[in-house]
Amino acid sequence: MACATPGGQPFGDQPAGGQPFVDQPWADTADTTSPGRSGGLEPLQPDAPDVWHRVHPLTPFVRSWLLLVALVWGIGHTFVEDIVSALIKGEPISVDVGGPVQVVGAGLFIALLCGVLGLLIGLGLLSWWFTRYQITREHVRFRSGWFFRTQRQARLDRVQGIDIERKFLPRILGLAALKFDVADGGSSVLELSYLGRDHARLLRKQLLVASHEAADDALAVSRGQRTGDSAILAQGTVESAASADGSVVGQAGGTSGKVAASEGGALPTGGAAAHTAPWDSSGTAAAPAAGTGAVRGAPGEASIPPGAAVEEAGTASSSMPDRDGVDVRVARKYGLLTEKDELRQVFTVPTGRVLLSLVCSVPAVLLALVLVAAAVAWVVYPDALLVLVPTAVPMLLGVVSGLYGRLEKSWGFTLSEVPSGVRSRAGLFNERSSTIPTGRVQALEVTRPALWRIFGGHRVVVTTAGKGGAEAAEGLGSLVLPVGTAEQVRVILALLLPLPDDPEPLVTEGLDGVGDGGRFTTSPRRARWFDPVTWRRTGFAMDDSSLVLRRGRLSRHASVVPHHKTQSVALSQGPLERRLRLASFAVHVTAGSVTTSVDHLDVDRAREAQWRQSELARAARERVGAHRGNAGAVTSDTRGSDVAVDIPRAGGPVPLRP
Amino acid sequence: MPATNDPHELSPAELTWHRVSPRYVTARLLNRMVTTVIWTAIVSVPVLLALLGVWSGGVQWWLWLPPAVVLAWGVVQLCLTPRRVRAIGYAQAPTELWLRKGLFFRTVTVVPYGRMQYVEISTGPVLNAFGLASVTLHTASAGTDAVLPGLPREEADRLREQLTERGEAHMVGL
Repeated sequence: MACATPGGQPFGDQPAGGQPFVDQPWADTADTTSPGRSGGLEPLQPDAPDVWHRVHPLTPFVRSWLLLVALVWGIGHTFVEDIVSALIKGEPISVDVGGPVQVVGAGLFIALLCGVLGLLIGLGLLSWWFTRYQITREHVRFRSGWFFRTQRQARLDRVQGIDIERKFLPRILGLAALKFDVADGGSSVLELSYLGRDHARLLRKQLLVASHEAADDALAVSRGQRTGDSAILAQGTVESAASADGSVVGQAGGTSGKVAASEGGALPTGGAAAHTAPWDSSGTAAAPAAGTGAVRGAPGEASIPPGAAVEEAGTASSSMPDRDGVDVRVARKYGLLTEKDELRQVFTVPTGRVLLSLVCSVPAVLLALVLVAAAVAWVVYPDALLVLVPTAVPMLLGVVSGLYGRLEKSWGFTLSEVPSGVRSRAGLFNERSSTIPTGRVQALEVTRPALWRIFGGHRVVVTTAGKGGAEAAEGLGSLVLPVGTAEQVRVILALLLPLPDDPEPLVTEGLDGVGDGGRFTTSPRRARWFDPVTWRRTGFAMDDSSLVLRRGRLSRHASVVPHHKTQSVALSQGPLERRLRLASFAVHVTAGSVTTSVDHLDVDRAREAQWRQSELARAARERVGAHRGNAGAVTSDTRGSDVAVDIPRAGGPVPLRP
Repeated sequence: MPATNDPHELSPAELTWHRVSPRYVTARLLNRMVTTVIWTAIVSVPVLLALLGVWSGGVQWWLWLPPAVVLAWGVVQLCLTPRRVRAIGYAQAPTELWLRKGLFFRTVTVVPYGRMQYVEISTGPVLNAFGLASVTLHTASAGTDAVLPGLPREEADRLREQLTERGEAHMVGL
């Protein structure tokens, strides 16, 4: 959502006189409001445009602790090695100080060392000096870097949740980071790090309230301004992508809200919201924008009307009937404002099951096999180990770190309901969390790995709009159930995919069923040339609300794609598939880790599936559009019909085999 | 199982399919010829060096292999180009756009009008010389590979207008 702006362009809004007013909130930790009640919470004082706060001075050192460790190791490891080897051999300890010290002399060497250390501390302090944040009525802004400056910002009214990040080292030092989950925020979340723990807690509460109020204001504004003039304003923020020879056009560019937010630039989320404006029900903005080609609002201008057009577009296109921000009233009612705004804990994965799932995972089994092989080799031919161990160590480290990553992501995994959807949190040393708004789930995949069948373990991942691959990798991201029972899968399905037709029976059949017997349409027998093992499992089924795809024999997978979330549907066929009259069927959804395709279906079945799916998807979209009261999406059918249509679709969809 | 030669086996017959401009064949051929010549020139360098006597050891027969392979590949591609272009097609259904492409590896894609985030027209020097343009449909999914290359400029503009209009009419949020 934010991008670095190389070149050190000066920040525009600093007063010419010199330093802006910067206060140091970490210094006055006197404000240790007990985190018990939110009643006496003083409201947030919004900052003036030139007021910036500094983060805690230890921040750069905590952030680059790995670098420091590496440095110390680089300097010290020879000494340590000498000492260790001397200890092992039982020789007297004689530290060989090494070449450089002998060359320049001990005194100079120590002086150099101190110089380097001082330089590093100086650099750290310099970076701290330029790391600032600001909280205005509409935004949280975070600036860092003295050479390459970066500014990130999040709109308060789009904030879905604020978490206090608990990582290991900061936790020891009494520091905390605030992590903002922002709707439409693109791939990364805004992180305010590091503050004193008490200050972070207080700020979090204040910000939750402020975000709630900002969202309410936005809603009020949008209701007041549902007229044409707001659409004209929106037009100013539409950034059209012109092609190479300047000939053209498009509607608004950019899809996922990854908008460059350089200094004074377009609002990160505002820009994204403006992109949706052309499609808005009142969207008269679209046609002129498309007709005249590039309408490029100057970056500075784009950020001016945050109150009107952008908000209008943002809330109008939001998937909730109301909005999907933080509902502070609910949170306050339940006394949740203090630590977490969670309404209800859905479940916590017990530690025993986490360990069991790790023991039964592929890397663990590989590890065990390698160890057994090593033991056998050792017994049979002891010298082999001397060769094998050095080569095996990196591989073992890889396996172990993979296992550790899994452990971190599933240890104490808790799923809770929050006002906007569900929140997952987990972690052994570094607690992570991620908020998944219900309306933004595009697809869901239930997996039952082969070895987990022993204890009936399932894993569930989702694809969420606006959360790309990068965040999924570092945070909990797409994982909503690291290991759980079939009952928990059912609960998650009900929570995350509240569809008119419950997909649960189809998902269960998708995990258990084999062959063509049930409601699933599977690959024909001739597909065994491609899938000798899994052809009887590969298949799909659909009802009025969703499409369920299944695959895998030993490790079984079932993916659910709600019809109203599908983007496009494709059939593909290679030369060999054509010889066997087979075709592959794929549903496209936003980027994520859920597989949404089935290979090697009978070509006629696949064609029917494509036709039928697009019919059902259209019906589902219309249903959802009508449900939202979005008049434009429904009545506009009449508008579309005056365009010459090649062929009216004669007859209904080709019925699928029962 | 008999292999069918029906080129439209994958695509629903109920729709009226439009092809891209025949001029696009020429554009593609031109393009392909230029790339083939360039690649052949690049992989002929060893042969040339040997022929000119820069390399000692004479002209080995296998030095001719790379340029021969590249040239043969290029010729095959050239021969297939007209059929490839004829395989590209689109059909406008009431609520979605159907696209098909590919000769050996065929794809038929349905893009609902309401899912298009924006429509892009682009053209390069060669396409421009033939009065052609490419229309690309963008949805929220990166998997949607919906490109219609080589439409006549007027048709591209008309298609864009229509798609935009229908897109507005059917738009639903994510």
